[in-house]
Amino acid sequence: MRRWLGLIGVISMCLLTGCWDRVELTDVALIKGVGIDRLGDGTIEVTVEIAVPQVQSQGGSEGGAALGSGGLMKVVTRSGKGKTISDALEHIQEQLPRRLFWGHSEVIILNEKLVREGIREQVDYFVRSPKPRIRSYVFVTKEKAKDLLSLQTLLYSPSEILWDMAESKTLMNVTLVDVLQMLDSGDVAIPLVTKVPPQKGKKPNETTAYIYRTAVFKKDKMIGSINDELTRGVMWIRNEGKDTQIALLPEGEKGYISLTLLRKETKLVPKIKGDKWEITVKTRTEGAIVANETNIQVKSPEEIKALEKQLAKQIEERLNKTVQKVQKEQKADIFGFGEAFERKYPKEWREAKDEWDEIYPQVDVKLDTDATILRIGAGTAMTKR
Amino acid sequence: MLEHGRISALQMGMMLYSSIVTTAILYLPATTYNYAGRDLWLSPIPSAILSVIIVCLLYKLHDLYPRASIIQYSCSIVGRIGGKLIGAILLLFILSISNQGLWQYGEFVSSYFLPLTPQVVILGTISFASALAVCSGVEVMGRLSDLLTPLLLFMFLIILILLLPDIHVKNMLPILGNGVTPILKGSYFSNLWFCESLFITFFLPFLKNLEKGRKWGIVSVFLLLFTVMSMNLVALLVLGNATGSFNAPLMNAVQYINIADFLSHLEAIVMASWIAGAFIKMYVFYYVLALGTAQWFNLSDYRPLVFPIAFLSIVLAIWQIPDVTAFRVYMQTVNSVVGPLLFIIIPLFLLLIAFLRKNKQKEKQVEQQQ
Repeated sequence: MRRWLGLIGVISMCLLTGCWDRVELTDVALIKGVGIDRLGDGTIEVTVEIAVPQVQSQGGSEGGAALGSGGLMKVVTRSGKGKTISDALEHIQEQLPRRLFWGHSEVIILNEKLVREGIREQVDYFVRSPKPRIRSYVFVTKEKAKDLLSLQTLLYSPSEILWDMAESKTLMNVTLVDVLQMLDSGDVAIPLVTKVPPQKGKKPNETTAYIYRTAVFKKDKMIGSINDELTRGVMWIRNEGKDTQIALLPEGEKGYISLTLLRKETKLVPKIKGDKWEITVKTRTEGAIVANETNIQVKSPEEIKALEKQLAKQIEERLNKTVQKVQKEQKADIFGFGEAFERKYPKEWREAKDEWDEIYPQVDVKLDTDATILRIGAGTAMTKR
Repeated sequence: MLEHGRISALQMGMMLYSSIVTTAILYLPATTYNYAGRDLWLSPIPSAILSVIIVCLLYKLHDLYPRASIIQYSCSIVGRIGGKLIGAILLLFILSISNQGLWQYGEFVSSYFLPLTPQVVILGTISFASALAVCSGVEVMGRLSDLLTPLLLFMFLIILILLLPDIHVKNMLPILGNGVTPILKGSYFSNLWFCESLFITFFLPFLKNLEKGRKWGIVSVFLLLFTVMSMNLVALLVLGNATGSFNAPLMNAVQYINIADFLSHLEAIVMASWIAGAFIKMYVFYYVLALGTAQWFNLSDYRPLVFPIAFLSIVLAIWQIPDVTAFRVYMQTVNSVVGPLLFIIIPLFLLLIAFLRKNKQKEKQVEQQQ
């Protein structure tokens, strides 16, 4: 009996071919970034930047190859056309001996034409499929996403460069989750990326990509963009971003005083008075002087007080400009005003939610800015005269 | 006596906790979010109150009928036919939710991790392991939960700590913005999980330290409440409005972990400890089913039933649930009503009758003495 049982056991092992999902490193093509373009005939083109893990000695370029990650990984781009993203990806898979692997995909670049039609349709694939990472950074570009991903960059691959830039938070950075949140609660803002103009004597693709300007959406359709100064204003109101440089031109002086704003904290304080919706942007910031071209000595508390006042004024000017453009002209709620009202006045919000589009441009924005200059620097090049 | 092993009250509590929490943190946050919105983390509180009531009811019943489970004493309380009927209803319902638990496990593993592996293999492996655990008796099961529950708790702690940098507290405001109703709507869905604390009736008879049974039962419910609340909350604080966009928000929140560009892609580790929880869940269900069925038929041993039940549960898991949407609708309509209703009304009803009967008996005794 025992022997028979053992025999059955051994035979049944033949039925267990097992390991359906086994994946070896040499079988996968690691996707580092994805770009999506709109083609003329209503189809889309998906471009993936693939890092092929391999030993450096095997070098040699293939297709649009660039050396990434210090040369340890070979990066190639492949494109496929199709009606949908997954359709196009299947065409890419046809061209590859290795299976596409999404675990390291951290950059998504969408072409402007595509997002002018709507971003929700494009983002859905990346959320619905469990494989792409939801921490991927999303960018919009006016150029072809394919061109950006096939740039011949040095040291890092194009997606790695963009990822690092987003991570540094000098301009906006927006992940897939942020896009979902913004789609749900207001209007979307996504950083635009573009190429650095190539140096003379270099090929057009021998350059690098960087984040420049911000795309502004109304609901899920892109309507325009704002420049970097206004982007910083938007980030200021959204309480995002790291340190900022400000060039202050004091009254009656010729030169500038440069300041680094180390800390800033912004609070949106909404208020509803009858039919009047009002929001106060309350900003507190601390700065340090890094350069002084003026004749102000910045030694006495009085001088600092005066400078602080002017600094606050200058910040307010910038915020005013931002609000003017985004709220009055583009009418896009990328500041999160709607959310602020919802948090403070849930009842009123529920009633007025549907008319928010009309209310939003009429919301009275008040600024309450307070700037402190904490440090005046390690020394001075000024001479007493 | 069907079972010779003895477990401690603490082990019972841990089994109860792990068996419920495993699936409760998976799809529940998304469902709760759709109804309770930003207050989803408050929704488990009413459910936990129900759960504590159930624990107390069953402990009291066990007091009146020591060393018996609900399947056994229901016969002595409402008579043979009525008792058997109640037992059958309970067992059939437990069988149905056990299939659903198994299916959820399989669905989750195959959609997130092993898409090419056949469903039968995923379900079969965990069922086989669980059935083996049940065959080894309640003592082995208790010790397994000794071993694995701390792992599960450790995982929750790690998730909480690693997600702290991505938390935005403003995501939970306004608290109670839409009043209490959304919270109650949300807890309507979590009731089923919390009401599974009925299972202590199958473990109480085998406790070494019975006097601590109620205490640990309630402690495990509170730990469960705390875990579900904190996991709901952390998913909300990380994902904000996007919580409802995902089926298993906690899993997506874990995917979001990125500490210093270095500690990321942690979902596999979480998955590994989560499977340990699923293992506890399945063996607790199989044990309850096998023991309950044996008690229902007055068999002398429950072990021969374990493998047939495990097999039945795999087959039913595949047959019963055609697809995800069907499962969701079933979960939100039938299960969420029937489950809590059965798990509360039946013990309450039994306890009432039992009290009346005891009183009558006492009256009779008094009469006889006179």
